[in-house]
Amino acid sequence: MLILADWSMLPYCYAMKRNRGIKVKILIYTTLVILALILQTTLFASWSFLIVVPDLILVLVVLFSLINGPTFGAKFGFFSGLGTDLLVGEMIGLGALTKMIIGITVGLLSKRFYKENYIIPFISVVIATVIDQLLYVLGMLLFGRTISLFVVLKKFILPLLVYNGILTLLLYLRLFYLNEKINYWDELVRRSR
Amino acid sequence: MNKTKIIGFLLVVLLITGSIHFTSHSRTQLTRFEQLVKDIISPAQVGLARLNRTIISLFTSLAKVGGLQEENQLLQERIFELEQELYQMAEFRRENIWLREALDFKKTDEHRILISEVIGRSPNNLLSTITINKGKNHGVRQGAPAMAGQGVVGTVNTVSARTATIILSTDPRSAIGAMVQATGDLVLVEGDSDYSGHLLARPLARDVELEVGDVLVTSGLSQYFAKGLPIGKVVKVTPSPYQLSFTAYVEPFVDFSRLEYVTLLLCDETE
Repeated sequence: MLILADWSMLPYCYAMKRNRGIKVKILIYTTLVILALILQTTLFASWSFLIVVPDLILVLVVLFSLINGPTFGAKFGFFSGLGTDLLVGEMIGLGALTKMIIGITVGLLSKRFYKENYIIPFISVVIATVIDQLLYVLGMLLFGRTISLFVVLKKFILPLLVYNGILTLLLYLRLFYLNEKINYWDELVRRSR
Repeated sequence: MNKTKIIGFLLVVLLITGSIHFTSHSRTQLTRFEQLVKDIISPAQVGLARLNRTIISLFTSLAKVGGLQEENQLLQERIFELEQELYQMAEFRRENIWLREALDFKKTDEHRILISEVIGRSPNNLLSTITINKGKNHGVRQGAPAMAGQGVVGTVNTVSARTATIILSTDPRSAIGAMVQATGDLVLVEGDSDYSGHLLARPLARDVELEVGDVLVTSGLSQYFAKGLPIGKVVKVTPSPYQLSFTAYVEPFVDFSRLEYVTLLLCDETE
């Protein structure tokens, strides 16, 4: 995460240099989503012992939505889901829609818990993983694909829950402090204009 | 939530629905924006995929050090066997050319071979695709068959300037015309919608018989695959209700979880 924090300084420096109203927040979150997508499609996907690919994007959507609220959750969920869809190249928008719904729903919880608490983020990711998969399968069925919900539940959900849960425990506090830093940098650039 | 937000949300949902509908069927071409996204992200994917491969091969070679001598001995014996087979094949080949000329047979399709690196996999568990580092710029076109050393991997689905996405033959959307190598009976090989990792073979005629151990190869009747490319071996045959037909489970020759390089077979016209 330290590396991520260092990398995320780049857009900040760029924005400071140009000072033309670029939203530092947007640049950093975009960089984070791109990094997560690259990780998910290369490293995570090639480790065959995992059986399924952990959904790092979903974990980011849930955690950032919990920290920042429903409006942020909707936007972040939509664009990160859209990024995933563009890489998949099929049913573009389905991932964006499911992640946006997750972002809004989880974001509504944001004001009701202590941020240092691990339990709510963990439970949120677990429930969001199930709902995300169910919504995606429902979307696939609605748009004419044949897929068995039972098979998805049996094959994918359990390992996904485990990996997404582990990612949450590893990332939550780091993302929480990174988010504070992002807000601080954003404020700094805004004041320097 | 105020009125504007609700209208905005509904508009987004409407746009998304249209987009999902438009992209839910097989497309001949990606939009420019999609191509741009894939091409921009591909250098980072290449870098990370290579780094990952180096680390994995380092660990694998460390784990193998103990059994190297024994493996070496086995490989030496295998090389000797294969060399003998190669001499025989050369003889058959010469004979085949001579007989074809004598019978005035049409020349079999020549393919250009393009080796490409696997740089990414689908971030979605429900879609079995891989991304390779060769695209339109290298002559790759939609439908081109992909092979790994041991057998058929799948077909190219979408292409950008520097990348291409391949639908693996294990994906439920995949269907390949195949035949039983020993008998020449035609079957259709599809991906298993239960995501078992096996392929499903269904007979295309009533009198087709399949047995455990039969090897399936491409039939050459489809517009994409050449004849005789190995697909897999039958591991289980399940008769359908009323015994009218059957489904055979085929274990592919390719280990899809360890794909690092694939070979594309490009027709001359695609050059």
